[in-house]
Amino acid sequence: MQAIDPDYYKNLKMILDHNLEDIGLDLTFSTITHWFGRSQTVDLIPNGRNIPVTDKDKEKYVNLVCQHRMTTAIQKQIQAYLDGFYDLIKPALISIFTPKELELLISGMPEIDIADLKKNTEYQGYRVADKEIVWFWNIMFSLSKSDKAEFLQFVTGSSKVPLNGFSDLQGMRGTQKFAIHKASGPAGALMSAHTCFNSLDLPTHNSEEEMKEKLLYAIKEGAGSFQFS
Amino acid sequence: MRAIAQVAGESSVDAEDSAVKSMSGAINGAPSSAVTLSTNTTELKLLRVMQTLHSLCADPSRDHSKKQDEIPSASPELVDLLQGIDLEPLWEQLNACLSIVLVLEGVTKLTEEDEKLNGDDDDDDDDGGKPKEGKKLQNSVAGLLTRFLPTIEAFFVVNACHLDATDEEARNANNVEALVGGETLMAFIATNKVLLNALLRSSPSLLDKGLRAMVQIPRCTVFLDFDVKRFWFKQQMRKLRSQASRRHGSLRLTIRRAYVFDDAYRQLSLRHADELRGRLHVTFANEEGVDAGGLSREFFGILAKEMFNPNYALFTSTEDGCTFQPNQHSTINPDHLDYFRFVGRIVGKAVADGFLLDAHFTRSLYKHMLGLKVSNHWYSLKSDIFIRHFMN
Repeated sequence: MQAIDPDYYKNLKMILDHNLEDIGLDLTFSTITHWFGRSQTVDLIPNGRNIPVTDKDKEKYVNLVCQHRMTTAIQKQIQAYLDGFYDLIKPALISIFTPKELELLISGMPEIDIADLKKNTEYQGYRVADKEIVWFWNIMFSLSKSDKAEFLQFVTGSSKVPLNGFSDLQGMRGTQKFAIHKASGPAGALMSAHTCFNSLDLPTHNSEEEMKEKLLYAIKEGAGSFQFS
Repeated sequence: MRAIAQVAGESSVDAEDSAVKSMSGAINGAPSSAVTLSTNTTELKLLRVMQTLHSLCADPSRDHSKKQDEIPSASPELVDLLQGIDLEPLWEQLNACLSIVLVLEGVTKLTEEDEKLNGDDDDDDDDGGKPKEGKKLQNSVAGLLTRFLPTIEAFFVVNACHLDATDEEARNANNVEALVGGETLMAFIATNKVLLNALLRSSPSLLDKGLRAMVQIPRCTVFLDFDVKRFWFKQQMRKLRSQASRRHGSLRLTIRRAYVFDDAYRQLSLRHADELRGRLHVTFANEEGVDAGGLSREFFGILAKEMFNPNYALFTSTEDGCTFQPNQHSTINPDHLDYFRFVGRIVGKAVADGFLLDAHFTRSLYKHMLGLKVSNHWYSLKSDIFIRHFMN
């Protein structure tokens, strides 16, 4: 019943990364939906079930499968939901916001207790006393409320704070505390996040200022760089 | 009608010409800062002339039916007139002035102060840029900007209007290409976004007036700060709410505690969209209490949980249980689309009235709500799951 599950993602990524023949996959431009034990084949393009996917057009296939899963299959539901929403707020008014801002508008700026987050953080490749970690928490405590919210969106994919605090932070396999991993690469490189593991890949830095600059860049521009998607 | 407009238009060009001449004279006199010499009145005059030109050259058949909050369109003769006048030097000068302001703004944190008095003083001194800078440091950024406001507004009047020749579709999409000075406008906004945001923070009503292009052209809104947008949005919502309250009265709901979701569904679904905008009064059945906001908040709090109740099969969550999107198999309930419409109305009502919902949706659903095309679904899935990967 999961809308978007990581296994599904992994399968699609495998299709993109490998030669179809090597992994022995026989795909057509169709997908199968399961519902109460019955399965049904759905064409992704006209007559898709009879058109084989080749390495050349597999990107198109992956895109279509995602589109089906996230939009086409729930088109009517989305439309009804939007009709209701637009009854109250006209599209022209709401469209001035970005997706991130819309989430903050609906759910508000969360109260983020950095001390609680720090208490529930795991480290890999770093020790608590390392200068990068000391800098990192200095920076976190100094952030504005909205920057903290954006950081949470960056690392966990949503600005939602767990009801019982960060000891209860959920990942894709149950409870998954926030983790800071030491990233390889040159000092001062950009940081990245894995939202389903609630983890941050933090490279080494030369100074606290540099780290702060990179962190702010990541949470602001990083989200923006996916705008084309 | 058109003939009158043309005659009047031409006669006002003369007035405008003189305004421009005195302005460009001022520009030539002190290249470092146009504003030193040109007084507020000439700038205001220019703005007035531009606005008058616009209303005179407007196509009468079109404009009467249109709402005031639309971007005006420019008829071919107006475009010709504007090209004849050649305002480019003025815009360049404006940009130069604003870049000085930008430098100043970076130099020091400025505090609120009455800018008008200083502004008038400055009109008299014609020493050029440098002494002025020292003086202006005392002023607030917004105050400084008010000085340039007439010219900025004139800039928007001239550049942020539709070309008459463009087709309806481009017009509706508010494409930059459909504007008279589209690229000039975009470049101006991009360069001066810090200043424009500061200006809008101190006088938010500009977004309903001279600078309304900022919220109407999609490519402009990205340059606005969240707090500026949210303030404007809340004001629009307040206006709509009081309009609806006048017309339809308040939105009164009586809810039984044990059946909050069902009662709300039944009572909201019956109503017309316009009625929903009125002020909300929630009463819980058999309970005393006047809704001064607290009961509404409680009401939305319960609904935000209930709509994700798996028994309704309306939404499915991502694996971490944090974000939701509509359930493909909601069809198990034959009325599911009515329920989705209801949930959409609840979310809309909460946003319109400023109540927060502990409800988080998938990024792709937010995009649908904003009317953004999800063009690459693979990337969208990635950003929902493995969000924001750098340099991989």
